[in-house]
Amino acid sequence: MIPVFDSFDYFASLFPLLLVLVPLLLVVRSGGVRVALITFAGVYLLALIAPRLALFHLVFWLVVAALQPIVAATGERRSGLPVLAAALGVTLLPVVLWKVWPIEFVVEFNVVTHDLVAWPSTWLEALDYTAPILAPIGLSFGAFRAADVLVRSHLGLIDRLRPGRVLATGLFPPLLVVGPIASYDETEKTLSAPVPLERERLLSGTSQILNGLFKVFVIAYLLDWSVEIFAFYADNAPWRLWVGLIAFTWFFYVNFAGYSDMAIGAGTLLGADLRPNFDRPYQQTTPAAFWNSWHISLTRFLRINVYTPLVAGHPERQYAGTTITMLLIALWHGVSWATLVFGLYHAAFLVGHRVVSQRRPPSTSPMLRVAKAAGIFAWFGASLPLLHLPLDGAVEFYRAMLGVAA
Amino acid sequence: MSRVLRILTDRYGVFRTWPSFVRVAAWAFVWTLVISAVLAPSLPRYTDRAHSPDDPPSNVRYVGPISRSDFAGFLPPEHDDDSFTVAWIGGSEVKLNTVSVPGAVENRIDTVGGRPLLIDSYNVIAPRLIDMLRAVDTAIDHDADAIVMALNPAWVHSEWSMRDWTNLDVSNAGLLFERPATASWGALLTSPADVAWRISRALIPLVEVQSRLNERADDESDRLDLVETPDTPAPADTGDPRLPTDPSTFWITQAYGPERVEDDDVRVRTLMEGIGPGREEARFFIDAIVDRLDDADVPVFMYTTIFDPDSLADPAFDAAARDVEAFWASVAADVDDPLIEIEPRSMSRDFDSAGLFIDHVHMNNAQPFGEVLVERLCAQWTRTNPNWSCT
Repeated sequence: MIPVFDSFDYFASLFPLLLVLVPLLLVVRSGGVRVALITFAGVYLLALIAPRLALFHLVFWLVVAALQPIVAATGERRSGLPVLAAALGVTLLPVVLWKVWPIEFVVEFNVVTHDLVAWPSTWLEALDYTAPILAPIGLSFGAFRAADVLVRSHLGLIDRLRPGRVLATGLFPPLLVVGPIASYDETEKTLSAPVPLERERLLSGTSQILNGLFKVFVIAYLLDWSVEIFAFYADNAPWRLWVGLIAFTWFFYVNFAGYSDMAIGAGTLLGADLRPNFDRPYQQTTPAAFWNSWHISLTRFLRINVYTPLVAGHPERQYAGTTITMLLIALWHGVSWATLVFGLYHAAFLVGHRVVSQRRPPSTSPMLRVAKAAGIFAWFGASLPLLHLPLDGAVEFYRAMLGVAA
Repeated sequence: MSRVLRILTDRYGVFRTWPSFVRVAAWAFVWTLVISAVLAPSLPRYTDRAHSPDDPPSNVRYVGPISRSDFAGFLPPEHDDDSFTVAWIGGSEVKLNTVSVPGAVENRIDTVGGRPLLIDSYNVIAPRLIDMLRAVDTAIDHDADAIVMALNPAWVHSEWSMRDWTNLDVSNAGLLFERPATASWGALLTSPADVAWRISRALIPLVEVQSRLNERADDESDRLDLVETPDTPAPADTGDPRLPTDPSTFWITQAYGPERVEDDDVRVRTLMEGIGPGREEARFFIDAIVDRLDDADVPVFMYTTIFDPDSLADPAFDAAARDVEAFWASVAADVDDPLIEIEPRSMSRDFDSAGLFIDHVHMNNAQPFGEVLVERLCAQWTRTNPNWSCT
């Protein structure tokens, strides 16, 4: 069983730290000091979870900092593409290993990083022993953010950066645990100079944090019982599974969106311009609109870095591009037959809907809009067992929902 | 300005004008005050943690936190000068299910020095030394007339005392900063969240009782739970044996291999022997505890948790137990306060304790041990004050 970490433990320390960090960043003008402050805050917050986790992220971003100037310098040369590919390979390797061999990776992650932390002194060893056994929290988000930095550097959108700047980008505190997968440009401004905290920014950041807290601690809290349907589906009548799955579909959204709101709100207070990660996905009326409003930072990352390069100038590849993109979104959640089916299921709907909608003009009927939104909700909710159960378990779950359980 | 309102209106729908914003803020403030003023004081001051009633029944009050992260920490009632109050500090070896060591003692003593005996049990499952220190502080602050401490063989004598510090909570954090010796650990282990909770706990009564309110909220929200769970719960750890999520088991597996955790005897023995840095950190906290007890000027009886004689029959387990006893003997040798008595030797070696245990340290019947303790405690109390005889 992969250990579970309560993300709020991280935010519970981040929020009070903002009381110190926000004023400091408003007065400190030196870019070097700003970068050092942000990096230190990120490492400190991770070390509070576990020193070994802080060391892991620090080493990871040091590697990215070493690769970035090379990728930026070779961007326009013939060797640029192989260099980028190699750099992306190095950057994405840990997350791939984790997704493919989750148990082995988590064991080795804890043992190796603990040994490294313990190496200088028994005192550090004892300190690290106080921490729980952990998955490499934040790695999925961090790896894609690192890939974004490297790709942009290759394209000439980012100049050669000093190592400290890459570290501060990577270890920007609000983004470390639950994302979103923010691009370099979203945090760039605050690394260089103070960003005035006008009333609008203050209210926007604060209200977004409150919004996130409300989602997580009121709505998600009332729905968190629904998680149990995946453990006890065999013991429940079909109607309980239907109601439970509907509740879980809301829980899944509200919990994730709530933490995204907290991260974005905290980032706003620190001077970053983080884009929204969710935009009322259950009010959307088409599969494409849904994916453009669900975990937007991941969808945007894959659209820019996978879909567009595949499809640009080749419209005949759009369905293949969609399928590959959806498979990557699915596999980002874990490598299994169930997530593979999850990706294919959504790709099929996206492609199918695009084919059908090209033949029919969209309806403007309000009733139909409501029906379509309900349909999108049901379509997405129906796929969630595939993210939370192995494939045979998911099949059993669906059979139990239909009352035909073995 | 209008854009701010537009953002708020879009997001919440209610902040259409600045007066509406002020109105919402004012009502939120008023309700916070009302809830804090009305609801929080209506909760009992000492914990209402659910616990199995003692068998045979006793009047022991269990004042431990609801969970290790309970901001309120230990909440004993106000001291009653008319009673002889004993603070009994320990973990599951002191109270597990219906079996209670302090209960067994309380059943046997009516009065001490003419005052009725009152035992407050400062109980936390698997307490670390930091919890013991916190309990000692609370007991002394509440004017306990005597203190009894059970010294767990696995958790409070080795580096395990530091491991898996999930019980480092808000009240612990404060303790670390109150002593120069532990301030460095305080700086390292106290998070901004601990500080924030500690400040808000002092300012807002609602925060202090948050854990108990959470329990109530959980009970209420459970009404929404439609999922039926089977009567027989699933085994505690159904996960992959390569990745035990319990840190102790994980690190033992890594250090010695999985066979060390397959046999419970071997697992407990390994916990007692400890792995890793050693006992410096434990000694560090023990010295802080002894210093605090030194200042308290009340009789203190500390005893090594007693072992099942069947376990001690295993030479390897016995060796581990003797190692623990030697550790506490070395601590005792350095204590010169006549009010502090440390019994490093497992007392089960000296009375017929066969058949009293369900495992190495947990009992199914605490009454015979209660008898042994009554003799030791009453002797100590009378030595401290000749008028404190037990009846």
